[in-house]
Amino acid sequence: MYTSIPKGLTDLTLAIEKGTNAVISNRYNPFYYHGALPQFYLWVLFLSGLLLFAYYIPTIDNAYFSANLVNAWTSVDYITDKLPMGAVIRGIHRYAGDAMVITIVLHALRVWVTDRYRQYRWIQWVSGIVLLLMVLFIGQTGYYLVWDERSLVLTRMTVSAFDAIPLIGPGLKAWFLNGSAITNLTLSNFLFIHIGLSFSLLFGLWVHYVRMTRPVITPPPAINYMLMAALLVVVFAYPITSGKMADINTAPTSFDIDWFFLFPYWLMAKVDLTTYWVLMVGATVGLCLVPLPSLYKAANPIEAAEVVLSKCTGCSLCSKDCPYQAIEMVPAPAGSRFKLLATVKPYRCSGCGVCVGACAFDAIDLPNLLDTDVTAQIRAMAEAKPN
Amino acid sequence: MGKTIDIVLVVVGAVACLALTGLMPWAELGMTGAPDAWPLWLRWVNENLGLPLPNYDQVASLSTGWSEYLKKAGAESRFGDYAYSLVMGLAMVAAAIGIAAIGREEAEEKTVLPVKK
Repeated sequence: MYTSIPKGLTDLTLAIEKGTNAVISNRYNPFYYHGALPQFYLWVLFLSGLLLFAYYIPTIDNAYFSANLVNAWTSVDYITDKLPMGAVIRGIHRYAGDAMVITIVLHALRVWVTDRYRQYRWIQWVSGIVLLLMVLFIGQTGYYLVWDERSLVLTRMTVSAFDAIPLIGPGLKAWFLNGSAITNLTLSNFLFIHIGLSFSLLFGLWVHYVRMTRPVITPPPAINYMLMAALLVVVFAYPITSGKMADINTAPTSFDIDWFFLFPYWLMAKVDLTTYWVLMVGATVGLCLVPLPSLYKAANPIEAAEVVLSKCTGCSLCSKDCPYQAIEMVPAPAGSRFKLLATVKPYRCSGCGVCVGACAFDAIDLPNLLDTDVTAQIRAMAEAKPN
Repeated sequence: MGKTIDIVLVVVGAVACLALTGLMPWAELGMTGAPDAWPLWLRWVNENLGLPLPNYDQVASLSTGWSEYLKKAGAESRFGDYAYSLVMGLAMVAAAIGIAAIGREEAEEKTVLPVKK
């Protein structure tokens, strides 16, 4: 299966990276920070969202303010048209969401094309898919919060979709609406989901990073400037507007679609709900299973590194160099000359051999590629005379 | 040759960044440099202490074009905020070009292989 990754695609990616290096150097090559780009936009979303939250009122009517109509829509309208820089902050929040989806997809594509998603990396792949789904759902709840006609249509479509799920459907519907019908509590719930789920992304990111020793999560300043500048220019080029205020006594049927977040609703409108769920769940499970066959059919089975106990001095160099946190330093047994001893966690070991290179005492080896064999191979290659 | 290009890029980036930053007050004041648009305290400083305020006559025509574009795009008010966003974005692009040009030389890979003699 994995030989089916088009070699041309891999070569093209590497050629583009090389070309970019030639122009702006490897230090500022965004390809080397592809995982950090969505992370940057996440911080932008948190900060801009905090500013919007200060002025947002999650109600659908003026239940608490009788003198003037004050609800979610009017508060968003106030932010956009009256609040200094409100429209810009709203635009930044909206487009940072779009940018996050784009950068996540590009990140996943690069990881796939360069074959860095399987075997010991399957947790990163699967957690990445879950994170993407969370980001999409969080983005969709952001569309509900505006409470214009589009929000109403999306809310009703979501309710119908939940209702169609056997057994848990009615419960999901009640959870989503925070009751049995659309009320002020519904908007409060949307806000809670939007913010609460956003913060739970941080836990998801921890799972995503946990097996990496030195994940690159912050691009250099020049790239950060470009990422932010792109948002600011787009905010000017495409100002964010709301539709008409939602009225739950009406039944609007059409809306402008944002393809980054709302494509499931396009699908929902095209097929029946059973087919919709089969396709959505099938696509998600299918993506999660992409790395699976390699667990059973790896072309080169990985044999975890092994520590030569009699030689290990407990210096920790191998543990510090391991990219996947596969080596743990444990207290040495009683009677040992040294305090610590390296131990390998086989399920995390990729067999990359970095630890073998790090060890100054020949105290760690790959069973299927001994240090002495590698040295002999290098020596043979070095001594081989060109024709 | 490469170093010359880097120096040119740094200078161009810095000058462009400064020029665009100079436009930010104009944008923030609603794309006008008219004296009555400036904050009261700044006008007081101008009148009593003689601090000169920038003259934005040369970019006045931008205001009309940008406002018309924003109206067509759906924006209803506070066009200066959008202009501020654009100018700041472009200034950041210029700054990024300059910064990248400075850091490019330092980023050259220097691989040193330990060789036993």
